[in-house]
Amino acid sequence: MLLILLVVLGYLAARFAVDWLARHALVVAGAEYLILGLLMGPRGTGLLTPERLRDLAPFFTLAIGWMGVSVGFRFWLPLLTRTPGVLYRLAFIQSLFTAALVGGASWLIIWRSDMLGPLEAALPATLLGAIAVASSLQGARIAARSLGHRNLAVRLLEVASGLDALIAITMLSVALAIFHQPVGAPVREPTPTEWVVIALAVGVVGGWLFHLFLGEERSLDRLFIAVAGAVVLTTGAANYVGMSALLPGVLLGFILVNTTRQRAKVGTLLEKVDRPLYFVMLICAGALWSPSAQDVFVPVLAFLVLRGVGKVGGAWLASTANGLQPVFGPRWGLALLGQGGLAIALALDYSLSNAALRSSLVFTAALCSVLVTDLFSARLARDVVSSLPEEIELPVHVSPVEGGH
Amino acid sequence: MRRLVVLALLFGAMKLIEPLGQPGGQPDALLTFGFLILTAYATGELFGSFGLPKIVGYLLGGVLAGPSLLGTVTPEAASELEPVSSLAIAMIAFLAGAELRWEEIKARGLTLLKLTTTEIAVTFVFVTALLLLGRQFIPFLEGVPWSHAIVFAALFGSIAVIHSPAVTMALLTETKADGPVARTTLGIVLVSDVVVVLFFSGMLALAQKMVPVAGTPQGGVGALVWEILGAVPIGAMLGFGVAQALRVLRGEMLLFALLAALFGQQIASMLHVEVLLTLLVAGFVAINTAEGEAGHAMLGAMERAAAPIFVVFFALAGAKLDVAEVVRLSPLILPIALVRVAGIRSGLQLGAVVARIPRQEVAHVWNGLVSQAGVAIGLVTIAAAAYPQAGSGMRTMLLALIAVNETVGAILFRRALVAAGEDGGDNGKDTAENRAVEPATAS
Repeated sequence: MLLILLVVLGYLAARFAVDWLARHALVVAGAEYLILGLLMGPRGTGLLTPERLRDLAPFFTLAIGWMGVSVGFRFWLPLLTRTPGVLYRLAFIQSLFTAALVGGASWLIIWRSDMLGPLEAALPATLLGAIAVASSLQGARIAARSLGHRNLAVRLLEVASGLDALIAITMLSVALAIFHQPVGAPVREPTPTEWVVIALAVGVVGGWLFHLFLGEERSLDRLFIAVAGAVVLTTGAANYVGMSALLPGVLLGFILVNTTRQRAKVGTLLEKVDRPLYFVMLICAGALWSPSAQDVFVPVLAFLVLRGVGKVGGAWLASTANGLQPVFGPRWGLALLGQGGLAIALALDYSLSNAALRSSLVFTAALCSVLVTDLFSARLARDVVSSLPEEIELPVHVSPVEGGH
Repeated sequence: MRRLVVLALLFGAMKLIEPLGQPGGQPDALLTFGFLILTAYATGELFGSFGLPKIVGYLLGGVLAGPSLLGTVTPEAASELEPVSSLAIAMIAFLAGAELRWEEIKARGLTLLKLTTTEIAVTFVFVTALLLLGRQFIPFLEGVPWSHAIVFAALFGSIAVIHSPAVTMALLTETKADGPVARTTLGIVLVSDVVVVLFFSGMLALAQKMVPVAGTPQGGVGALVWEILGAVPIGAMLGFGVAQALRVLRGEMLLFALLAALFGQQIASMLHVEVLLTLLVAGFVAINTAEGEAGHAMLGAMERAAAPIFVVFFALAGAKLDVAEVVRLSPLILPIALVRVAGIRSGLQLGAVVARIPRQEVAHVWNGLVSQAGVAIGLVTIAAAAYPQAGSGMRTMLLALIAVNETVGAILFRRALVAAGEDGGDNGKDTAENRAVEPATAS
């Protein structure tokens, strides 16, 4: 009983602290849920024993899959085709630069510090690269809210955040496919390419099933069941074959947003469940977190610094290479420092997979990065966007015939 | 036809993915869960199109996917999904308690109590008498001394009188019914939940005095009484805590509702009190003591989450059903089920006389009291643990009886709501929730 009281008091204290920070310092964190998880987990009061956590694992996996669907739902083709192509170029260069810098440096650190051999080190290093690429959409939203309207810089942040998510998820899926454990398949072991195709097929089948079930359905209850059923089945299938639930989830979300006539309703449903599941994921992450001193110190610190350099440097490089420094300024990458739920989902998904190596390091890096960047990311995004003019014009050489932002 | 094709495709997809899992591993719990949701949903819709309650479809969807028929949901996978089922029970209980208003209890509490106790007493006498009269045909009563037969028949009878809050809540959510039949049925079902569990505890205590037991379940009768009576203060404290938390919480109601249900379920199992009763009391106290609109916001969030929860709960119940056993025992079960229905009807009529209310007021209510589900299964397990030998036979028969009542009860209740003009339609086309989203779609 005392333990329960301790957990409740701890949670309430953290909740009030975060509420206060959110009101006074524009902090967008879910730190209280991480603390709640820590308090309830085996390292805290032990209310969530390893056995109970194992029982609850399907919920965590579902939260990961759901996050993938939410990411995929952001890729609505009519909006994507109206976006100037140069924004994709900027976002892509920024993402690749961050991934290469953090992934490469992490590989060197992990290998040279004798944590793993050069080949094995590639797996956690790729994951750290993927996590570093992931950025939060929250920054763009807050910036848009503080501006009162959406200018081209806000759209750039949205595009960058979407592309970051896609690249991060692809990196995780490819890494898990390459390092996939043998399954003893009846004919032969699938190749890494085939594993990726299988993951994609799972997403396509999930989207197809949704349509078969619903057709022209308008009732919210039925939509909820069909969406939940399709997401659960897709996530479960991906998990069953030992692949990340994020990639099939993205594909399912992409199919949903581009083919259903109930786009607004499905979007509302996804949004309603998205945040609760994110918090469930944070609780789980807190409960599962067991960092060692070796993990926390040098590598995590290095990760945080490298990620900052990657994001800001990548954005600067992209603007310079495309001659757009005068338009978006040299430091728009600062607005992408916020990490959000996807980083946790990537780390959690990796930690739960059979192939995971040095998962504690990856997990600790992701959690620390989320906690640290959430403290100031919203403020940075707002400052970056508000320092730019309200109406941003693209130079003629990159301007599309028709801009729809 | 489309639903059947979808079911076939789903089954095919499951078979296709099977060889790609870890060697020797069972299908992932989440994969089974998704398959179960979609299968049950498809069969539910199929049944709905014939004017039958969807929960019967969910149940049969579970049967279809379960070990008895297709075998896609193995017993191991079903047991892996036990936490989902427990959470569903906790949410259903919380939701059921939250539906009760203090004003209603004050106004109709005594009437409901009189109706409930009379109905339970008459049904108990009917079922117990039938078992004793036909004891030579009942496997667990055949050849045992009369004193033992009376004890076992009474134990069977005390479990047979229970109703199902889960089926009642599922049907009320599905039909959006809120008339006199719906309210009276819900009131009786909830009051009877407390009364029957107390009654069963007393009956078990008496049985243990009359027939020496091989092993006392979980610390004896004292523990059983604590399990029931302890649930009331624990549930009240939990409900009060939820109401206080609602004063400071803004948003995230769905998560909070889920966490409250999960937390309540964990507390109840840690303190060895009855989970259903704890959550029922918690729901009642939380909503009736919450300030302003917070309680209703939480109730709304829980109701939104209820639809998939019902699908899962009943599909899992169906998956656990041993169809062959039910068929084998049907010649014994059907007379008991019929006598039980007669007991419920007569008990309600007598209850109306005792409570001094017009008989017409309860004319349709008996239909809603036929179904049985989770609580009954819990009590069967306790009885079987107390009397391993006779209890095993009793367990098999009661589980078969519960399976019949769960299915038929839902159909009867839906029929009664339609006959009383309280069926609000199941398409949910006119719910506040749907209206709220319409403009977004239009834009």
